[in-house]
Amino acid sequence: MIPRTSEVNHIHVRSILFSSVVNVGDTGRLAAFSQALAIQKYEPTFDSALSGLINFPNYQAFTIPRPRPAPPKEVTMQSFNDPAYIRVGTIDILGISAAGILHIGGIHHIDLESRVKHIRNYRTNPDPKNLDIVSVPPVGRSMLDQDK
Amino acid sequence: MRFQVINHELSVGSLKIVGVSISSLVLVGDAGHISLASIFDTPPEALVVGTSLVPLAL
Repeated sequence: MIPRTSEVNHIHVRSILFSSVVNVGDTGRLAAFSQALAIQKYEPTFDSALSGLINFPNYQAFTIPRPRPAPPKEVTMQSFNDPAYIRVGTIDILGISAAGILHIGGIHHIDLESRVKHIRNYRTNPDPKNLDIVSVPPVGRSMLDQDK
Repeated sequence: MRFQVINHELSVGSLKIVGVSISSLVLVGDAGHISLASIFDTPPEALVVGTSLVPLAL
C-alpha cells in the first residue's frame, strides 16, 4: 500500500488553547487530555481560600473511568490509494480548544479525552464538604449594592 | 473478515470551521485507530456550554 500524502496550501487558525494541537506531518501516537472546572460566579471576585478547596477529584466527572472501545477482531483492512493524495486548498478555523486537534497527515493511533464540570454561583453554599450547588434566585444589581 | 477500501481522488477547495472543541478532531489524512472521549457535567440551570473558545471580537 502506498501511504497517502496530505497537501494543504493554506492554514489559518486564530487561537489554540487547552491541550490542543496543530500537527503537520505523520504521527504514530497522539494523546491529549484536558479537564476544566467552569465556575460561573455572580460576583466578579476571586476567593483564593475557596479556590484552594476546589479539587478535581471532588467531582465525579473527573473520577469516573471512561469506557474504552473494544479492539476490532477478525477484521483485516486493506486500502488502495490511487492517486495517493488528499488535497485541500484552504483551512480556516477560528478556535481550537480543550484537546481539539487539527492534523494534516496520517495518524496511526489517536486518543483524546476532555472532561468539563460546570458550577454556578457559590454565593449561598461555599461549603467545601458539600459541593452540590444549591440554586439561588437571580439577584439584581441594585440588591447587591444594598448589601454593602 | 477482509475489508478492502479503494480510495480515488479526494480534493477539497476550502474548509471553514468556527470551532474545534472538547476532544474533537479535524483530520486531513488517514487514521488507524481513533478514540475520542468527552465527559460533560452541568447543572440544569447552566446557560453557557463549552469552554471559552475564541475572543468574541474578531
